Amino acid sequence: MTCEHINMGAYNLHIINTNTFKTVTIEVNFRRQVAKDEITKRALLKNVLLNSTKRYPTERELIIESENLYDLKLLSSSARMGNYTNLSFKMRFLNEKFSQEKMNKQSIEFLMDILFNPNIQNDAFDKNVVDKCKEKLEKSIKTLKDNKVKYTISKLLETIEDKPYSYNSFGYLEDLEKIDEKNLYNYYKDMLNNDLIDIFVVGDIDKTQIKDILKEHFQTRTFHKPKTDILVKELEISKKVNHYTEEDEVNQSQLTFLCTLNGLSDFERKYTIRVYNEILGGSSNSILFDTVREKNSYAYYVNSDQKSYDNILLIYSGIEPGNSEEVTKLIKKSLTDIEKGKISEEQINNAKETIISGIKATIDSPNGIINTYYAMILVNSDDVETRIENIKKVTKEDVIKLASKIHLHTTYLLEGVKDEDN
Amino acid sequence: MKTINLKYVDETIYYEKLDNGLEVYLYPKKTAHNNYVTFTTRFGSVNNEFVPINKDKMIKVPLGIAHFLEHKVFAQKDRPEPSQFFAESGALSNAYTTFKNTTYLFTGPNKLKENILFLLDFVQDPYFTKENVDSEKGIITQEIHMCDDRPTDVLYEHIRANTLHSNNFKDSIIGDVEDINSITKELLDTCYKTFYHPSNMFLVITGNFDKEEIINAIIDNQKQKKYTKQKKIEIKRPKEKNSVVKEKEIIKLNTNIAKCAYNIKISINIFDMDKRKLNIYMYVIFGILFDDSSLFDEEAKNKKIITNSLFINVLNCDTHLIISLINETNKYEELLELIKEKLNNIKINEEDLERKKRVLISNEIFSFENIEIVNEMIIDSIIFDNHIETNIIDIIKDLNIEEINSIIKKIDFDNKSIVIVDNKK
Repeated sequence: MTCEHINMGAYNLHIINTNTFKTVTIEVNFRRQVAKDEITKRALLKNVLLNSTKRYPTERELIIESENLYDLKLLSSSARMGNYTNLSFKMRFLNEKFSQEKMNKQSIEFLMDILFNPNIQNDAFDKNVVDKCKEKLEKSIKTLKDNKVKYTISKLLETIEDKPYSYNSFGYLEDLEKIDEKNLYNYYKDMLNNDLIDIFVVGDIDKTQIKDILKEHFQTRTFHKPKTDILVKELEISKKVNHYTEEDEVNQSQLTFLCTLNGLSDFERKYTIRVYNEILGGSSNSILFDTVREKNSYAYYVNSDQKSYDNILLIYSGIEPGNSEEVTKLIKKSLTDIEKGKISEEQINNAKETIISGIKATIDSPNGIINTYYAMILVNSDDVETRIENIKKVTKEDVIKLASKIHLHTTYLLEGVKDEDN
Repeated sequence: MKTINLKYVDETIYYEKLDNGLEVYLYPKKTAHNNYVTFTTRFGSVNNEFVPINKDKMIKVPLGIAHFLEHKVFAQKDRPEPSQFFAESGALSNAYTTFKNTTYLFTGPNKLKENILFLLDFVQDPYFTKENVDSEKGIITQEIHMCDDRPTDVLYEHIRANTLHSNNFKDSIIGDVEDINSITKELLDTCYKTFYHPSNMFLVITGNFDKEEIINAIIDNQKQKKYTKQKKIEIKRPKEKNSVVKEKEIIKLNTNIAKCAYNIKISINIFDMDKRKLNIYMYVIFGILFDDSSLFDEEAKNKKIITNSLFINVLNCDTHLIISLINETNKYEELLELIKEKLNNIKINEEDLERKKRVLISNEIFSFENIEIVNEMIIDSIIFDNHIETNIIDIIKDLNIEEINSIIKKIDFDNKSIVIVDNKK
């Protein structure tokens, strides 16, 4: 499988021609340096654009058209990647070989319509649409608390000031109030002109046809766009670990940890940290799982997650209320055990095999293929074969050396208390 | 090996039934890099009254035992721990329990044959002791607590509890703390011996492999194990009244936005129709009436009663269908009123039906993008239909407005139960 990169002037087109799939997937990515006060706008924009267009002015008409196009699937998402914020619009439709003639063209034009021909009146989005989407976003911000795991992690991250990862990715209620159909439209135009844009196409499809449709509909004209370093600046090592506790009426307490990564090399950031994380808390064979859950039955789950481009590593667990001190001790012990080299060759090998399997499995789906090629652009990641070879090269010594660059910084506990009314 | 050709989607599944009764389904795909393998027993949370193997009397076992057993099957005597073994070749293993089945699985690109044989070996020879059974109770109790903290899980539990009287679907898959504490090694043995016989199980392999090599390895493996022939397992048939248990309940919980469900209970006996086809019709009817392409959806959003479209769930619990219309909104009373109004005045036209047929056909083809989905689809077919439907697209094409109208006429839309999870503050 190869990817053809085409410079279209103001944006880049990446075509992966393959007959593995019966579908065609197109993903349009807009990215720029993350700014806290823009998060809510982008989160809202991803819904507004998918709600209606000039041609299909109501949500219902838009959905009926997508069903008529053989249930074309449309998805938008906003995410942060290090210092970048990325807004992506993804479309997947049945290749016309499995539906009917001219469906490819109609489907791609449908996406173009959504991105470039929104429902505009008097230099503003439709007020009704914006209001509806605002309400929807308000709800998703408010329901974050229903998911105790996500909620606690977001509170943990919020304790760190002025780092992109401390921003709430859903957006903020106080910013939402300030957004209206006019300033959102201005932001949309700004995004089209100033964001870095990468478009990916995966499927068995005619290259010239795609290029022609894009040339006709994609009107952005700005050629010089600022690039940002994706890597978030390191957090200083904290001499004393910071502890925070919040009480809530929950049956299961959530205990979370933030560790800093300090002085990682490029190889460590791309490869060694993945092996380290897999061993520490990546699976049910991990040291954390074994120590905290299996041996001591303290927790239902315990995991770790590395965010190497944020220079942090997270550990989170769901535990029996009242056990947080014991669990904290066990987690600290697990971290020092790796540093002292208390890991077996077997653990290293299993972790490496698991990561390699994961890399291989990604290229079985259009999404995985796009992610692979996008990572090459974003963080200069290696191709699949090189990545597999480099993971194989990681040794026990490498993991131990890396462990000394990881330091516990902050803990956040959502402690379960009994409801006093009952 | 038998060949099962799926019309229109241009795909083939291979099938073999072994001497000991084990059924094997294979879906080889040349372009795949990964493999997905599942080993399933027809034993789920609803099967808790049955005649144990070599006995003649019906017994009742604690609720949640199928799920408990799933956890304990991973306990081994002389073999390496299953997740460790799979991890050596980079494979991930897991298991899950539903109402009607328990499934053990792994996924990974390497050493497929060795991993399949290990999957068979570990599931077919677990090691239960009094100690390891007791130590599991704490872990499962934690899992129960985790569900109690999720408002949506609480809603789903109440939907079934408030619509069903005696049908076992009313209980949660995981059981409650009291049930879990009454489980013993002996009870696990009884369930295991009865339901984990090869004739009650099936293996599904999807991925990139040589089907002859794989099936031969499985046949060899099974030949080495001694199983005596087993009669068909006698399971208590559910009896269920047509009425609901509670017409309305409001549960107070710690949540910002209320969740509500409008649940219609429909007896399956009143329809003289294949159950797969009936299920498809229910999705079509309630989709046209309430999904994001419906007039209802447009109206409810314009009136700011809802912000997200309703989630439509069809639960087939053998005796009845429970159709649930679910949403998150603090204006739930208005929503329930609007739903009721719509149900009193149902109109479905030809154009809507034809559009939904396109959607259904397209989804059948979409499924074959992903070996994991194909695998799950095969499991679902075996559990639900007991075979793989080869002409599902023909069934979809034959859907018609006359049958829709006759189904609608038979449904008593007033036979409903409303469940609301609201903020206690």
